[in-house]
Amino acid sequence: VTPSALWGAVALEVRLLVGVGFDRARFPVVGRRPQRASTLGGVRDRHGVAATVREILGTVCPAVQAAGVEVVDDTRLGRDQLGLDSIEIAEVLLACEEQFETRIEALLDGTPLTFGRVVDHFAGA
Amino acid sequence: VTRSLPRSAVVLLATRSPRLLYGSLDVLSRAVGARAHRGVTAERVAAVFPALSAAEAERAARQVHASALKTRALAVALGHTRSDPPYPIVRVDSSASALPSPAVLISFHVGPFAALAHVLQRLPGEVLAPHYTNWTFPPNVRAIGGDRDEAERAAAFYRAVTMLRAGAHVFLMVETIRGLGVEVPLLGGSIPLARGAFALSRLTRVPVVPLFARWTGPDVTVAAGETIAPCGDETAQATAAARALERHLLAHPGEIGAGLPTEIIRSRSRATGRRAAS
Repeated sequence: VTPSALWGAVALEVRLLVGVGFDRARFPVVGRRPQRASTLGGVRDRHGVAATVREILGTVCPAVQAAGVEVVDDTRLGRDQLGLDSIEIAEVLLACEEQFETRIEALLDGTPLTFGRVVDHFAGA
Repeated sequence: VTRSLPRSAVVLLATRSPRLLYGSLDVLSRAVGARAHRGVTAERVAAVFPALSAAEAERAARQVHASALKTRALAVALGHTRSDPPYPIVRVDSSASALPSPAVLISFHVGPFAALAHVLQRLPGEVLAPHYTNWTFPPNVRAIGGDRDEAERAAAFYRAVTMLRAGAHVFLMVETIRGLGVEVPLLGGSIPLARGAFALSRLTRVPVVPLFARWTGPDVTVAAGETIAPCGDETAQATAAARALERHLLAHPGEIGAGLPTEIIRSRSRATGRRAAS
């Protein structure tokens, strides 16, 4: 490990912790990183991903968090359960896309969107 | 008239000689006289535009009738052709000749809005247009449905974000049903506008440009309203869009159509009722 590589790794970690270079108004979870979703061979820790998706949900739609709705794997994101409209759903997925650096096209195939499906997608399951 | 004419005749005329079709309908509607179009009488027009004189309101009501007749024929022609869409002759006002790129282009259901696709086909690159009609669109306009459920609408919204970030245009009609969207003032009343266009602008920091099409005899003129700069306030942007519509309608009251006067008058009554109750 060369000193420059070590310094690069430290700088990246500091950047992730403080959120420099991220739009914090849109993605305030970046920089705070309450639970990091660790990655092993492209598969992330599902609990960590779920916690991050929950936090993004609470940020994009504070009403969901305020209402204290219990979000489980089968909870549908739409108006019928979690109460999100199409724009809020897209905003949540865009924030997750940026956070996990994983494209979301496969999630938008017309199958009902549940919390569990979203978490599985970003966990790489 | 458009109901009794065979669809194939409307399509043929619209394709071969649009001026003959729309000019004839224009003359016909004037010959029929001031017959009210779906309840749009001179009195109703005067109620919406109190600054108009009686003669101007009468003329505007006739224009509503003529405009509705020609717009209906245009919809029939666009809905029943498989080849190139048969647009009328479209003149592009200088305001709409150089649109910013990328941009969220919006319009309202007033005048021959279907002819706006003629302007979209002149834009460089692909244009995404979420829509719910059976119209034929130009090759560069990617028309996508998206009215089944939230997931499908979210997919359409995501595609729109992706295209805007890639520098393309997105075209949307912004009126929605009451109870959804943002309620904004218009001509002393209010109308609900869908959030989609303004949320796209907020997320991608791309401006919103209102486009308006109006009949000028047998031809169509397309103009652009003032560009609405991106900001974080969807309600402020929606209000600016409604102001652009108001300016357009005050300049061309005959383009108001049948639905808007009813909507505006009802919203005024509701506001009066609320004030009385409080």
